[in-house]
Amino acid sequence: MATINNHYLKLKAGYLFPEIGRRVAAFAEAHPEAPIIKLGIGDVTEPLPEACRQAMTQAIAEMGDRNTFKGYGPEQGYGWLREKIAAQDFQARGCAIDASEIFISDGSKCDCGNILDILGDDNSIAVTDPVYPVYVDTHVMAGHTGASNDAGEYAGLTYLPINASNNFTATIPTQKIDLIYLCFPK
Amino acid sequence: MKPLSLTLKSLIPSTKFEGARDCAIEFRSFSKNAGFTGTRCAFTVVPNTLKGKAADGSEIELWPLWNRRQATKFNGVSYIVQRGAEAVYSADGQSQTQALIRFYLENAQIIRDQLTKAGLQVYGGVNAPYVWVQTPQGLSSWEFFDQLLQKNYVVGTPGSGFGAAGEGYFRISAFNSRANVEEAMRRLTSNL
Repeated sequence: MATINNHYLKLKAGYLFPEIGRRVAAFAEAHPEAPIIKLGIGDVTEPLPEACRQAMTQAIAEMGDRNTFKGYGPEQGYGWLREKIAAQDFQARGCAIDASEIFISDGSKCDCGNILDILGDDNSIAVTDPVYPVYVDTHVMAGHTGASNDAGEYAGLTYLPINASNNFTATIPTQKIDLIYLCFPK
Repeated sequence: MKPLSLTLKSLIPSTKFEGARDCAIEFRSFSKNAGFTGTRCAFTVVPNTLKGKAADGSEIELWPLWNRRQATKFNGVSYIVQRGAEAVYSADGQSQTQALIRFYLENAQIIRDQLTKAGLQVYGGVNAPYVWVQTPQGLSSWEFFDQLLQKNYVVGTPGSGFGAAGEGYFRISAFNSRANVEEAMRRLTSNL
């Protein structure tokens, strides 16, 4: 029998948003008449901008024509998109970032997990607390932590509390930290 | 980094900070500013001056490692979606995404105002799409979650789900229609 990645067994039961979904589904089933309004996960509700829809419609038309059809694209993303991001999001604001330094992907969550592929297993890691679960759980999965305690904190991670008592400003850790996540879900 | 892309007043990427090119990787997405949560497009900035330490103590640039990683394990984002993301940077795209951001930030302002009126202590929600609320009467985050769900039929996110220091807080998202935000706030202010 093949073995599994035992680090997955350390993960706390129920990723946050599935647990919310479970409680909402149970309540909705018991009270089907309740008009529930969801202000939870933070998914957008308004339609895509017209400029984006027009561009994608045009792109679909190009895919339907042998002369403009596109197969595999560059893994890093198309140059024209990387150029625009570098110019307008960075260079226009005084940040010296070149298009070659921009990598297009299908989501920040994926990249946050994938980045661990190129980092070592022996880094000391700090996260702000509160933090999005993906920053912590990817390190648990990679075996960079010990088990979790009752408060849900994993051994081996440095947590930097951010709350009203410190005016939402983290204290700089005193020990040496190799990787620190700056992420503010509040 | 998602809230950053929503900031109206000061959209300043972290890589602007002095020295950031040598120590930071930035993750950004089009999810919130252009409504791409279902369309899927994001980007990661890996400066070519950024280095890490190898087992033999030598300093190695991370850019080639990430480039190799992506080339080996990823096939890129669909052409159609990348054209959609490119349009965000057109003049029309810029004004339309600004309008979207403004709409959600107005929702956040309504939530802030109404919850404050209901006697709750609120934080954030000014240049961010989320309002961070202190739970009343010392309720735990999940207790407040259950109360809002069962009494007001409103779903938020327990702060403790984001870490131990989030206990006693609750997150309300500004991502919804104006009618739903107003109705949710009406229920909370009339029957908390």
